[in-house]
Amino acid sequence: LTVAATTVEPFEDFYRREYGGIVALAYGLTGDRGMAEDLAQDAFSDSYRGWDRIGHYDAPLAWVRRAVINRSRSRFRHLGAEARVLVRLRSERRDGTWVELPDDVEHFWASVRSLPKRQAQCVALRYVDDLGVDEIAALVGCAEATVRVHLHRARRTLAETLDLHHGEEDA
Amino acid sequence: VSLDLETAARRAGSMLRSHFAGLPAPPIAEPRRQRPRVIAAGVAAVMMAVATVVLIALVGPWNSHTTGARIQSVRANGWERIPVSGAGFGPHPVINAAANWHSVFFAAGDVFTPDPTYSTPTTAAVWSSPDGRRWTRAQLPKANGYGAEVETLVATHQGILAIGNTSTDIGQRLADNVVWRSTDGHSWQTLARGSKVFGQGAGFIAGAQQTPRGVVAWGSASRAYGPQEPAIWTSPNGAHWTRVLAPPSAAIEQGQIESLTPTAQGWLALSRLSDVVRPAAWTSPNLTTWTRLGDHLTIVGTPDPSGLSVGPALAVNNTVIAGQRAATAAVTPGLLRSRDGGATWAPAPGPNGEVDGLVAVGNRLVATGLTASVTGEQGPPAVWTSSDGQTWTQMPDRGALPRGTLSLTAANTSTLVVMGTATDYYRWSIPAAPRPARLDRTYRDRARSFSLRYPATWRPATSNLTPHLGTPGKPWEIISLGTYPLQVGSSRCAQFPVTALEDLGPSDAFLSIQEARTYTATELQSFPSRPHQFALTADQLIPPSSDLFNCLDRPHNFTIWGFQYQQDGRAVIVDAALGPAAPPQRQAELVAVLNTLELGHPK
Repeated sequence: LTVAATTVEPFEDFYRREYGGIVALAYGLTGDRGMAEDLAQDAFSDSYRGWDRIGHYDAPLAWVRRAVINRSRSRFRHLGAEARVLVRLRSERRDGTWVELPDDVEHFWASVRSLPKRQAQCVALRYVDDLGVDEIAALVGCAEATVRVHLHRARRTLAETLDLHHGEEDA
Repeated sequence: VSLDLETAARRAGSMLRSHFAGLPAPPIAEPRRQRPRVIAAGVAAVMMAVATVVLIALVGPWNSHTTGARIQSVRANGWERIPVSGAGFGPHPVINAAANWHSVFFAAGDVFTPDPTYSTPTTAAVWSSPDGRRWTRAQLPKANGYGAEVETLVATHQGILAIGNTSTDIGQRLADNVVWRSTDGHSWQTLARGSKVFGQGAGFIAGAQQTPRGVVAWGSASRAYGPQEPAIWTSPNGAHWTRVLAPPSAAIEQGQIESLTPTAQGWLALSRLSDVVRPAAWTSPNLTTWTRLGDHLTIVGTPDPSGLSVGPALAVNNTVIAGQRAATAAVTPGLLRSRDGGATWAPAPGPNGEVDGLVAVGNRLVATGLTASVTGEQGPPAVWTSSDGQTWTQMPDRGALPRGTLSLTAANTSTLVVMGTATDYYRWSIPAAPRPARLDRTYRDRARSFSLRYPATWRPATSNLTPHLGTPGKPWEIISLGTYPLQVGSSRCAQFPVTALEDLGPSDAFLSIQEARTYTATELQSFPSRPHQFALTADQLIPPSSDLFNCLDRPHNFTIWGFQYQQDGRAVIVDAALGPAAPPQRQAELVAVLNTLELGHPK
């Protein structure tokens, strides 16, 4: 990681571009859209407050992802704690725009959430954010080999739960 | 088994991504940090006199790239901007708070080092400076926990307090509060530490001040990881705190106290409530018992203030002014005014933007915040000044101000330090308004129809400093003056008084006036008219790319402005230079001399 010498992307641009993707990650881990948006906003609000430094990172999005997976792990402990930074215009956000996901997709992520937390995080980062093992390892703070073990075990469990062929992972 | 898990997983991930791809991000409502709004402690300090009108002429565009390394600092009309990178803060400082205690400036926040794990702990840090220019970092006792930072500084009768917190992990809530104290401005001790310093749950201390009854702090607190609630605490010594404002136990109300202001009617606390964003106020006669003034602030013409949050406040005689910020584009930010201690409010003339900091310096008001863009979103940070609270002037920005908030102010009666929290760190100071320059001497050259007045401490050059410019009997130079002996020297660059500029000392001023020879009306018309009032703005800075700097043989360190204008059919070229440590009075003299410059029709 290096610190950029000069320009930092305006937080507003970063936020608007990445918001949907972070909500998707949070949704995969929580299964609740409102909670996912809260998690995403909490994470973005933290990055907003720390944009002085986070904006200089090569990959500030990784910081936000890590904040989301950490918060999803201890969601109820932190519920509402960050509400003071971002406006929660729930009524505007949720007016008639929600379209249900296909059942098999919902079922897949429900199964993911039943996994041990670290496995679920690895799966979400792998398939929602399309991250490689090295990137996941950096995010969750463990060795790449550990990530591979988590993914392998998760896949095995999911295959059994969803009655799917395990196959050979490519990550 | 008909479907491969890998295929199903990739589909499930892709579906999630595409499902949320167009999700609009909700508006961002608040500046990223909540800062102490009014640092000056006590009633007297926040009361301002409005009788004396002092207009502050503000600087032109600042641009460190164009001023280059030759100019270490640039100043104009009382404002000085110095890159913090050279001011002793070290790499990667984050300045959260600033204060003045016993005429020493303090800044506090944290320092960090980026690393590949995105989890670098921060280290709490305090810096001090005798003048706001050069800063020295103090050693704080290490705080337990993953990382730490100082959020608030407060000058008290028993020393200066740094109130901060520690965190347990990246992205996690703050865990413990820490209070450090220094009684000598140099060494710091831990006065209190733990998760219950401010009661159950961590307190977020937005600001604090010394009062006749002890120290009072305000901000928000959580109940066992619950929502952040508005909170006020008092302490006799900074070590033991008692929460004196809390919502009823049955009512959990998210929000934060933004400011605490002494008014003629008592204490006024303004808060932002964030379950539905709206401003609210409490009053107290004694800092101990508090009364909520309605469900939300009563604002004339705004029956429903949802979307507004009110932040910094300042008592000016019998009026309280408060900065308001807009949480939605439908609300116009600016200032509110109350003449009844906060019971009712009305919009007031003010800065065209969201005011995040308000402070009185002597008889001037300074506001910091964010400008509002035409779309209603937050624009770049800005600094405004006012001599009467009615008319505000924005410091010209032109892109040079760092993005982020400029909410930090530390003031004594003569100097203000405004520090950014953005990617660049800058410091402006407003020295005390200089006395009107005494121009006791007059220089008049009747033959060349020229005159000016200058202080007795200045001296005109006794000879032409650019003798190789022009022709014998028709020199271009009319006069040069300085606060030091002016010598003729190098002839390498005929058009510049090279040696005199090289001799310019750190506190000196220099002025050279030449008459440009124009031969056609078109040439003359290329010179603008004489300025009504001269000002040392960045627009007039002579850039490092100028030939002037290539002409200098010796090391030099000055700021030089160039003016070209016409008056009464004559074209004039003026160079005005100041040493890097020239006091404001010297600068005022230089401007005053320039303003006496008069040319008549040549005899």
